[in-house]
Amino acid sequence: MAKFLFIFIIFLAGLLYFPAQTLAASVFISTSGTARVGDTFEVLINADTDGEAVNSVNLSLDYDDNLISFAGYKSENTVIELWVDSPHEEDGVLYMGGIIPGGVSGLYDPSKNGLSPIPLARLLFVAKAEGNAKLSFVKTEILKHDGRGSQLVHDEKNGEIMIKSASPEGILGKGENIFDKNSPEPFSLIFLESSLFSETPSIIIFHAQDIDSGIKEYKMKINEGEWKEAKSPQHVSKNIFSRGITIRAVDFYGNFQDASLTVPGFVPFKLLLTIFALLIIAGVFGFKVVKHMV
Amino acid sequence: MANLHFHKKIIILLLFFFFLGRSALYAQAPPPVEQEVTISAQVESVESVEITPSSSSGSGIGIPKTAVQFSGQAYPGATIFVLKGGVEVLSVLADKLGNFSATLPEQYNSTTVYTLFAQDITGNRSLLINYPLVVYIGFLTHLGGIHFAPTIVTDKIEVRIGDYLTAFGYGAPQKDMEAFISGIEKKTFTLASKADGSYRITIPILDLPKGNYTIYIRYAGDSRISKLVKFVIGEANILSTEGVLNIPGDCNSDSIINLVDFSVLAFWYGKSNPSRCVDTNSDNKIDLIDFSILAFWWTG
Repeated sequence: MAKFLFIFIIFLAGLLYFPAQTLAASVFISTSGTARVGDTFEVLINADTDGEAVNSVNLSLDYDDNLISFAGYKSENTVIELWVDSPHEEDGVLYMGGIIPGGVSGLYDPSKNGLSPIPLARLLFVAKAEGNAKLSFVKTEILKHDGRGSQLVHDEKNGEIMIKSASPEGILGKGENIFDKNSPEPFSLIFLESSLFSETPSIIIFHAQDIDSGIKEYKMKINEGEWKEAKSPQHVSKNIFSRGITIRAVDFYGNFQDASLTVPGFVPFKLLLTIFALLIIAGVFGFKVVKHMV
Repeated sequence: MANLHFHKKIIILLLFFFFLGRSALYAQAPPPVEQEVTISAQVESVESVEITPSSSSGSGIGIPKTAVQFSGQAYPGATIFVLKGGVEVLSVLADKLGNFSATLPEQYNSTTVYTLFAQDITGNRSLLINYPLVVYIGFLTHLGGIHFAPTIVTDKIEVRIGDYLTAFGYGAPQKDMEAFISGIEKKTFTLASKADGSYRITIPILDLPKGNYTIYIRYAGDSRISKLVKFVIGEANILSTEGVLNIPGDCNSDSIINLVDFSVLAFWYGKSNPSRCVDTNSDNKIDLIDFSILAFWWTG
């Protein structure tokens, strides 16, 4: 009997004491809990790395697309600075992957004890129909900031949000974009010319930001041609003559921002003018010589 | 009677573990936010963040200033750079003990990622350290106890067996340090920095097999490490000044890892037969691990 009680005490002690001591790293979804049909609401993806510095994440997220639809992402108050794969939807699954140059181990909030979870991404959804919308991770990958890209072992905690009937104001404002009326931030283009022995071709680099709803897509136009889909880095082949390239960054609400640059051709414009001038001179001179001979 | 005494013991033990467990659970819960009260939190046992209500701005209308202050220890005479959203906003000089303090005025209630790095007096830089910080309007938010891992440079990129590799750089003055060599085999050495923060260690390369290795330095018992410096143990000595530093992902060999290198890597992401210089871990594919290695080496 005494032996049984001793084992029971040890078990009970483990139950009471260890849960607080062995909190593992986790990635979890935070929502406001409720939203109304027609509302645009935020879903926060957080990571509690247990104090471990991390610098890269890859996430895919399944959600109830009968009840909610993906409407963009916010870069404000989050830590991912560069998206390898910016948040986008494919066949009802949301994909995203990005890096945090320099790594991060937690959020420093002076009003809280210790490090707070890292805000990885703020996703925007629109509530479409009433019901309990579930958001669940399909795959999550978090890499440590150790110079080797080691995996961080972690748990996944899914989230949900209750969608309630639309408020009268929501019905009145339905269909109207009141969420994001601002264009993406001005951005610049960098032309990276391929060298003779480089395996990487000439590319154009761009990185636009939109505070309100994120960048949905990029488009590219060469001179006065048609707009085509583009993605940074965009491969551009060099031509004989220089060309004007325009890149358009479009946010999730259709607002856009353009940036342009001239990609130099094989033959510089000044050299082309010189050759042209020399040809004219040679032609005139030759004509005079021939005329003189005749 | 003896049985009753045993039961008493059990009850005492149960109560002891009950309160132990509860106190451990409470330790995880954050304290409530209270205005006008200095709140301090210890982070990673070294760095701490605290806020204090700021005094009047002096404008006469009683609006308090909002500011963020960073303080800690780098290297004697080092320059400490503060970046906000990846853009340099402030730089300060450390004193002869390596101590520094930098104050940045702020305007809004927000979560901002501040990035700090230190540059020693010879121009070598530490790795970046990020601090995502919640800034409260009207408060001075002080992040103290910041420390940078030592800087590191090696004299050779390839060492002949039987010869020596010298690693040197700067750290906080008179600190115990550890040098780690890892590759096919691993070795650890101990050393200490001088009063001016400089250190130098010469390591005999005698019983390590040929191959690719890395070396890094850290303060004894610290988790923050210096840059990893690659070197090869081979047939010849090649000085660092005679070759390219071979920073992973630095395809244009400018010793800077920034958006350009990220974009070159992104071009090869998911493609077969990637260029050798972008394949940072030489596994013949470009995946998130290569981006993670690039993020580790990032200089901006």
